[in-house]
Amino acid sequence: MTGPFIRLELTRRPGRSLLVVLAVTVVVAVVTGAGGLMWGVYTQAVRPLLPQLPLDMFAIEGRRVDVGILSFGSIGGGLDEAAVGRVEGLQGVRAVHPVRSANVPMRAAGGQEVLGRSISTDVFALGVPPALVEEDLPDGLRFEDGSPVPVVLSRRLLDIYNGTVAPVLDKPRLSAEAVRGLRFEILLGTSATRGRADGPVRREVAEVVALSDQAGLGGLTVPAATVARWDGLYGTASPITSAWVEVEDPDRAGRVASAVEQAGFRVDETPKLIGWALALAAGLGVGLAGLLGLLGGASSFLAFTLMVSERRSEIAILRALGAERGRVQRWFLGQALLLGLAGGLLGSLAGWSVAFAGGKLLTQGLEGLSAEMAPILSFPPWMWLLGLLLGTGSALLGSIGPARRAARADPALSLRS
Amino acid sequence: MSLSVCLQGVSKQGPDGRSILSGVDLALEPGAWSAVMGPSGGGKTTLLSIVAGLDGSFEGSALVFGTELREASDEVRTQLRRRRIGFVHQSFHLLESWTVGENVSAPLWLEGRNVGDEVRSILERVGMAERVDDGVKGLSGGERQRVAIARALVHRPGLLIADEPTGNLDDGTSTSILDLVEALRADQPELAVLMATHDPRVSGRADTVLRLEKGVLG
Repeated sequence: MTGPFIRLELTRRPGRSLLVVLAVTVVVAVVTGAGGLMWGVYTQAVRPLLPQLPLDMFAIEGRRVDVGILSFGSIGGGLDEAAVGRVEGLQGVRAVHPVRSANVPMRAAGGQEVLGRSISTDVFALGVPPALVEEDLPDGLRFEDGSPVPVVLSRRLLDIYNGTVAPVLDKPRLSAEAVRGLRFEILLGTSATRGRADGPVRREVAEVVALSDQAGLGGLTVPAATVARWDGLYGTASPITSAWVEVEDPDRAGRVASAVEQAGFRVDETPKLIGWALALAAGLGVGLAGLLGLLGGASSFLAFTLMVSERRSEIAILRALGAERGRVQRWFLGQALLLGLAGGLLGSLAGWSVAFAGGKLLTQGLEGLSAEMAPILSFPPWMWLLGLLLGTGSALLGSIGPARRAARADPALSLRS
Repeated sequence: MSLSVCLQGVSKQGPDGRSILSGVDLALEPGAWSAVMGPSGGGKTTLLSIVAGLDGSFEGSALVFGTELREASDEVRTQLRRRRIGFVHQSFHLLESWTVGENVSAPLWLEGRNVGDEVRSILERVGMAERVDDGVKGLSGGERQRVAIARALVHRPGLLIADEPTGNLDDGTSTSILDLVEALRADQPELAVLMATHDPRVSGRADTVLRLEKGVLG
């Protein structure tokens, strides 16, 4: 029966017990408060952004061999149907969207609405599966081969135009809306740099239907079926030049990117860098929690050591009255468990308050930037559990040594002294 | 009738190799009161510690209620103390932050028993029932010893061991404490008593008086 002994210790001499509760409370409050705030920032601000960042999807190419300024794309293994199949089989990959390059020479002519005069320039075309860009298309529009040929342009290309070309040419900057619906002519079978293909020059009308991050920066992104049709007209092949890898979980994009790289492909570094940043932040958080947990354990150890030292004669009396060593140890551990639970609960409450207040302040500071941002507070049930576990764990950790020392007390010697 | 305590050839040396007890033989029947007298440092407290199971490091044989203490584990000796032995010390050894009632209840709690009327009953017998909820810090020496005796007997042990129970008490209080022990023996006729003392008033009440000098029991 340990209840009366623990109850008496807690009620008659609460000083040391309060010290343990206070230390555990502070540790748990800091860990859960900072954890709640960080988790809130992650769930409310970072995670919603992940799908918009190039994280759920990243580009790959065949392994390149660079010699000085020369880069050989096909040396060391390019992309083909078999390679795409291998990447699709990797863990964490939802889909692979191959990008095919049209081999037929071509030019584009137009731009009267934008530039004030019509221009003609060599272009190249990349064919992508509709699924790759369908999220960027206006409602009801399908990315299929037809007339006019639907074209998707790179968002970054528009940024570059607005940032460099438009100011130099003294032209107005273009919005995405202004670009959508822009029509121009494509001349197939001829280009200034590659000359004429075997076969007649054909004219087709193209229309910009959307902007997308998945569109090629330097060319026209059209349906894969269009590229296949164009190359079919001139008897040329449409090799796979790159591919977009769509991952199942954006949080794990970095790991998937590493796996793809290990499989022999060149990978866009962005998801890996962001993955490393997230892993580093998580590692730092766990490390900080562990360190603070040890600090709580050290405080608990100090308080329990004082407690055992002060109660040395009482422990000896109780041992003389018939308390076994195991029972004495259980008193201290039971006491530590109760104090740790109390500290864990109080600390979690305090941590919730800190996270709530911090989230409010942070949200107010960001109000002008993001009106739609919800208050940054996320304190899921597992955070309470973490607080209780950390509290009891650190209190128990700190009490084990002193409890064992108390249990080893020799009643005969202690009574003599 | 089996003996409560039977020591045969019990010897013990101190850490410096000095002999504390040397070939001590002792037999104590249920209901008997033995007083062990002798000068300070003669080995009285060591003898009581061995009989109480507090000290398991000795040579010879010490049977207490049929348990050989020299071979018994710490746990077995602890259980024996808890169930069969009551101990009263010269310095009382009360739990200072507890009340009178809590001090007396401790042996019952340790045994896992619910505290019933035993505590009030024994406190009435020692004249401390009115102080049941008082802290022990404010008690006089005589009152503290009464509480210690109540705590030693509340679980109705078969053996009461007392180490200089009147050593810190004035004459009047000592007499009343000895009267109390005699009265309690009358309540528990099987209770054997082993007391170490310098006090001739204690030895005068004992059935047998043994003299322990330089570790040798005479």
